[in-house]
Amino acid sequence: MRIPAPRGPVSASLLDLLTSPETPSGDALADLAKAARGACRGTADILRDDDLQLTLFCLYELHYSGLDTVPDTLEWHPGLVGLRLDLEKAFEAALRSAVPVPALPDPTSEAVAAELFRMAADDDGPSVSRFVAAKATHEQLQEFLILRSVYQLKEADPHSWAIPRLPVGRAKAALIEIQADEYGGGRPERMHSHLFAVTMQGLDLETEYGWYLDAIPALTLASSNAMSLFGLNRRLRGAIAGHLAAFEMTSSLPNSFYARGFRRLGFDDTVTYYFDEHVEADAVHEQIAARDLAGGLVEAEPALLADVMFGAATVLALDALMGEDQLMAWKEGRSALRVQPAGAAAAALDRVALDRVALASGVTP
Amino acid sequence: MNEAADEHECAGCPGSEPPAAAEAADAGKRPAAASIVTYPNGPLLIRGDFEIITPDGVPVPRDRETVALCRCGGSAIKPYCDGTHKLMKFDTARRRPVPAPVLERRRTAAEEGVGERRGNPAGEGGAGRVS
Repeated sequence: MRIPAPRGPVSASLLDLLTSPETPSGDALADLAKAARGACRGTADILRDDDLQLTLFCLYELHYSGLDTVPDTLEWHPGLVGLRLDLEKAFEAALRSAVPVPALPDPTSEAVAAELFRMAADDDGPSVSRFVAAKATHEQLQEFLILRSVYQLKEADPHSWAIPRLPVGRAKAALIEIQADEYGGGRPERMHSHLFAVTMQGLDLETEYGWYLDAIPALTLASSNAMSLFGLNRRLRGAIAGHLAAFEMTSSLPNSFYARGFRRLGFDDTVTYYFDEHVEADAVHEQIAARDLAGGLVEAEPALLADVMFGAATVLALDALMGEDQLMAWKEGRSALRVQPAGAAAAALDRVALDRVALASGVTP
Repeated sequence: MNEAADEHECAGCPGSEPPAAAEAADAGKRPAAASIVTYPNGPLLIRGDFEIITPDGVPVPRDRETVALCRCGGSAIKPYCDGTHKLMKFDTARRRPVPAPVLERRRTAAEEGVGERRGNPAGEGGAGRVS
């Protein structure tokens, strides 16, 4: 991934350290960790803190596709892992206080699935999908795809961290069955991340992972970071299982609305295929995810019940917050992106436009 | 592998086994070639070696190993499930109320003796059909 523009002192220090030709010194990292802990204490809301969410996102990125010019050996640099743990502690505490978790069901597959389906059905968060179906403009569809691209261009990867962390049995089998489908069932041209890129191409957007990162608001980064937090920490394996279940359970119907919105503006099946595919795929996945993955995991490890429900509730809570911001911006005629490139109404958000914004704000692209 | 996957005929595919198949394997029995899982308030999931065809024997397009078949009747992508059962509050434990006009047609049919030869004047499946 290309190096993003920093958003404050902590991300600026981190990106400086990562891109420096020298391996980061212990002292420099200790200073950075101290500054990060101070920023975590001082932030009004870590979920919407651009500097801290970008810092966490870049630290996680070392475990995914990496950052351009940053040596892969830094992935497990103890100082960087320590910094990540500091940030994760504050981030997880904020999630646990912001996410409402309903009363716990019995630790059986049936009760867990029933409660998950109830939570998804009762979710009354703002409906981006209905807006997209009925009202979104061409530019808003582009923004919608850009916001989604943070996760969708690496679709399924954060949940794959859970595979070796789940016990042999029903839950692991369920997770792998779902993930195999997400990755195209052996056919790269059917991988969901690839299908999403095809949709982006149809709207003249760049499909390189991370291309639009500078335009992504903190809350959307937080949503991606939550998956990495749950996936990369074995102690949170219940939360990543619940997260995937809620993800799948809130997908098939909204995706039919997204497809409708793109068709309304004249886009053909090539562009809508990603959404059409998800209508069918997620109707399968949600059953497996709720009963066999989430429910099966709780039956194997009843102590994980609370985290399974927390992971699921996190999806609904963050989706609601992001949807609120997105719809408010669109209804007020604003962009839902973080930076508005000059003349964005006409031009797709291309590199030139983003670089112009970066230069105007004094940052070297 | 890819060709086999394309044709969905991988009888020996080492996919995840549903609990029933796993139990059969545990008991030393050969698991069935395919299994259908009946999800409460939701679709039927089919795994294993099977084909979906039209009455004329033409294969129905299929893009995945495990599929969910609609059983609420509301899907826009039949025979597959699209999640509409959730909007319909589809409840597999409850028989849906039969609409009054259907009851009326059924009563008329019963009086005329139509359908009784199947011994199923009011039974499921025959509901509302008078021919």
